[in-house]
Amino acid sequence: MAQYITKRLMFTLLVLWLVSIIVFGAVRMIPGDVCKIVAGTPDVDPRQCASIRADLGLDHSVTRQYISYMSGVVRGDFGKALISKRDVWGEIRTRIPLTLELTLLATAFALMLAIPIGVVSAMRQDQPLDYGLRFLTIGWLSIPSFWLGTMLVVFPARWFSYSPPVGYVDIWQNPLKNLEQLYLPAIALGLALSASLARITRSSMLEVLRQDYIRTARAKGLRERALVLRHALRNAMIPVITLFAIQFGVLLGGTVVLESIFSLPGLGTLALTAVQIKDYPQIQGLVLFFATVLVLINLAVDVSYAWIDPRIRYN
Amino acid sequence: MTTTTASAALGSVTGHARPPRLATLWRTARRKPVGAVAGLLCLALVAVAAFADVLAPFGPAQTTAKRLKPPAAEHWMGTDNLFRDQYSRILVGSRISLGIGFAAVAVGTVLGTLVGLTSGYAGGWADLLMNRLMDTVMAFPPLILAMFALSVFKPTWITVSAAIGIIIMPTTARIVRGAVLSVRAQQYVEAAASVGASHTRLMARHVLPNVVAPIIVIASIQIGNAILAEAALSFLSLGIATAEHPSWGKMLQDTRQFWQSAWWTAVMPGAAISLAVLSFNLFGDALRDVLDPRLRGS
Amino acid sequence: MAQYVDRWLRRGISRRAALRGGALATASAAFLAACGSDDKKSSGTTSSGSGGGGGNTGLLASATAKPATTKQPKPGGSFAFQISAPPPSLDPYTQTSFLNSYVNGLTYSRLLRFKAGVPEVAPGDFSMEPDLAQAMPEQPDQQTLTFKLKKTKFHNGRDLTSEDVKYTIDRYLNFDKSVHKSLWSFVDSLQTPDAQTFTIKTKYPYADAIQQVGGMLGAYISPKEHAESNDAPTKMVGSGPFIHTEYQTGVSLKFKKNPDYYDKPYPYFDDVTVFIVTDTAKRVADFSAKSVDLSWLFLPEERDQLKKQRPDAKFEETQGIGGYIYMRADKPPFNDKRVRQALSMGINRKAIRDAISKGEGVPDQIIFVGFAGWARQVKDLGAAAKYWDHNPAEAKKLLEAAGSPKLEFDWHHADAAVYTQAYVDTATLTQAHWKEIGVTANDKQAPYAQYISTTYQGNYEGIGHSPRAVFDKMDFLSERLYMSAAGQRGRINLSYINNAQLNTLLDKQRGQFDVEARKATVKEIESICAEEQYEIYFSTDTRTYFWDSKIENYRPTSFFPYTHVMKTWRDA
Repeated sequence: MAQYITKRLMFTLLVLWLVSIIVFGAVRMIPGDVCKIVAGTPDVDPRQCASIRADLGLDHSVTRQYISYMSGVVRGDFGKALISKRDVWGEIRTRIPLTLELTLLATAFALMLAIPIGVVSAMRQDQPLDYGLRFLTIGWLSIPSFWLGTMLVVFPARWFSYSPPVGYVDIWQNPLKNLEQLYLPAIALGLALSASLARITRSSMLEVLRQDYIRTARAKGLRERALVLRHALRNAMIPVITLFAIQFGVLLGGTVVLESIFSLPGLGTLALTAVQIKDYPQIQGLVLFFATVLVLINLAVDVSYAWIDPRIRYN
Repeated sequence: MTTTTASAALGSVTGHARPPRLATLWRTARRKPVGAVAGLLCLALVAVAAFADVLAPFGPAQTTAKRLKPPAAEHWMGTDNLFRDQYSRILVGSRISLGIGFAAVAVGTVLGTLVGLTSGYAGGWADLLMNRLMDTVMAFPPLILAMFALSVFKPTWITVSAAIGIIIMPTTARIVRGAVLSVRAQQYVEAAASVGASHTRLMARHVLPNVVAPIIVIASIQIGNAILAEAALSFLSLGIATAEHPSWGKMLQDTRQFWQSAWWTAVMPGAAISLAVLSFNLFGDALRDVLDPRLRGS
Repeated sequence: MAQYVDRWLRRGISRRAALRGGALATASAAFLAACGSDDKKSSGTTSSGSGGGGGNTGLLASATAKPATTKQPKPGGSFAFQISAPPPSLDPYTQTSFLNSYVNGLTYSRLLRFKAGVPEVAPGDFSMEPDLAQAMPEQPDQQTLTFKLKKTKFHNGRDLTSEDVKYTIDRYLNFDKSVHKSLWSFVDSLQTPDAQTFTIKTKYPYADAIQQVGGMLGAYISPKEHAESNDAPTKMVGSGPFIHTEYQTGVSLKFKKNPDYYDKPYPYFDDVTVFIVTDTAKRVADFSAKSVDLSWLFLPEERDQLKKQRPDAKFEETQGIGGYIYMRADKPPFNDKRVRQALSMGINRKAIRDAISKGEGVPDQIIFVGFAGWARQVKDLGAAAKYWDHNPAEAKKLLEAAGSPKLEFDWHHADAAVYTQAYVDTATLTQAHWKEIGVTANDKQAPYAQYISTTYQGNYEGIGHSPRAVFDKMDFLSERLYMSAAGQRGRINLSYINNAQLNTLLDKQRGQFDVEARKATVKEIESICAEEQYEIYFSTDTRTYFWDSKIENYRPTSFFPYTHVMKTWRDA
């Protein structure tokens, strides 16, 4: 086990290193004159330009820039945003709670929909209800979240003069208001996820229901409901969790669109603005952060499987 | 962008499934009526994209006399805020939406297949390296990877297709690798190797033909996701759409402020996206059941 | 042109009748109308026509003085309004963004401030009143302005003296990263005879000095210890009516009342919150749901939605500034004025107005037509007015005569992210109209930052398209039209205009203190620009402000809404 974890950790570090090289290298290819972007005005005199380039460390070789950047990153210093001059990591840190909460709410919503649908679908395999539910979920998969999100802004306002409270309050300050601000984007974000989770729940349930121990339990006369809830569902959850880990990245990407539609100050809007204004220290910091999060989640999932099921370690 | 799912259940693809011949097509269609209808829809969509110029009653940038008019006989999907016929724009818009969808899947499939084949066939260090590379790509949230790429490289047909293709690549690579591993273990491949067949020959004659089915299946499943990804990028104005060359996602972005007063500006392009994605998803599902039932549940 | 003016009038009357207040159109006594805007601004900067007097101008008639409110002020309570994007940075020295101005004015003092912002002052009235100064400056001669300062403290508790005023203006002039250097280039020396007295000596008689001192850009006074600190981009420390307390990045700014404010009894509100909401649909939804007390700059489509959803709310329409096209007038084919005239005549401005502002607005020209008393309406420009007519046949003839019957070039512009969708839509429609006269403009859209650092610097071929740029004083004309003998372009002379006659006139108006004489000079400049079509202008639109019916003593201004919120209260 220890050996497996060491190996996985080394892979993780390797991947993070590759990520940092890709991000750092690519960012240096962004076109446009950095001076003018930073100065926020077309009038930049050469002296000012030189000082800006020095501020950004652009007057050194790329290798040296990389080394000094990475040694900063290790100490939690991602540099300063181009125009706002705000601390890149500070910007990211203050926005983590919102995006985390949004993705968690979206996940909760998705699971609430997906598991009942998946289970019912599996129990009624190849019956009309199953077909109906499968068609429904595949239909959800084809609705763009940005479309649904905008509809959720526009039509409640039109029909009921309703709009979630403006701005953003911290969940610890005012949990109710906070939830009211986030539930609509969470629904828009979670719907597509619920579709794929429902599909995997169904097939995983079918798999489990075919297993010997379920047949035994059935033969012992356990009631169907108890059987499903107590035995089958729990075992069927493993692939669902795997899928969720894979889908987490998709969910993070989805926050870009939904946060911007709902004017929520999360990591997604930060990413979109940074891309729009080509704030490359910010883009760089964000992409590195996202990648690290995903890599660590995958690591955690892998390690916990290895712990649950020793066979995986030798795979 | 929601089905990287296939990789979930894919360690164990074995098999020798062959694509059905034309003669069996009818029987298959009868067995999978929904898939068949979806397949026809997909064909129809492709035809529409190909002949959009001829089919569209108006030019995509042509201004008519009517602004924000609801669907009626002359403009049966209504007109947008710039006096343009939405039906024509949706028809022409299918070019970018489907074109990028296909191109991205082509990029992803070719790259993914190359990586998967090398990885699975060569094993050892090459396998390890390729796997880490794929891990690296998968470390980025898909949409964010594409946004990042397009903030560096100017959006063009090639860069947008490549950006989405790269998102798709790791899934394909993993599936192909799995398929190759199981094929390699088959006796007839070992036999061929033992009589001294070259690596290229082994690869081309024995391995590749046997992983074609999963490749086709995974590619078809990914088209819908690629279309959605393109739409999202266009919606964020990171795509390649212009007035003359609209795309569905950009149409939605450009008319957002009118959705409240003119529902058709929201519903029509939205429906076009959903219809296309739904068709390709259903078709991909059916294809999977027919060609490679083991991928079922993915 | 007649046909659409007529049609516009019919629409105009019904709309005016619907306006609350129904003020009569009387000429306002604007001392000097300076028109708020900024390089980075979308067509969204509003400006009201100040009266117009003559009636059938096609301009909005809403912009006159109304009776002052007779209600008793009620201090206390909180107030919330929305802005459309996050300010790039809160540092007034390094930013020209209109977004900064929205929030800077709540916290910072200036020597003078605009009177506008209350019912009794017309939104287009740009006259000044004393702010930090005790009175309007003494002007012993044309090159001296002396201010007596009120005694007050900065929000950090330190006394504000004339040294601080001197420091501020010096920093606007000389700080390496200041973007307001050209605004203050008329300054010869700054003197501080004592702690409460401050004197500006100018290099030459400069007619716009007062407007600059109380203006919207480069006039906010901040303490050295804050201006030079690392907090400058994210925090504001001034001496104005509200103390900045919190900046939740990208979401909101919070302010509380400055209890020691020098102008009693202002401000009335205890707290002010500014929400940053980038999405128009969301802004409409928020005001519909009564989440905020004030929101602004809505185009007619959104205005009509809001009027339906909030019939109780107060609102006022203002004249919005249109965008313009610039081109390489120093090179073929655009160095031939017939080509420029033809391009202008190839644009169907009415169709663009129909698409963007429900047909509201009038054609615009080099001096914003809502700038009454200074600018003429396009129809009053004489023979040159015909270049604003949509006349494809004539346009084709002109192109033929110029030897360019078929033209193809690039059209450079920014994307909608900052300048809004209406700006991009204008480009799209114009390109479609030009097809009819054999002109192909290839659309080249760039992200805002790239556009501003390349095309908007003059680094482009073909044509460019921008919202109207800043002018907070009449001398803005030099920035766009001037070319020095050495070939140095005015800051935003993007058409590479080099016209000796214009250069002479520009030099002349700068020193004309006599308003009528200056107007005459400006009129000559206007006529040359109309004939030459160096820059091709689109139309004005209508931008509407909405505020809650309980909010008293508020009025939009034709420039950035500043400290006037300090005179506003909630009548609960």
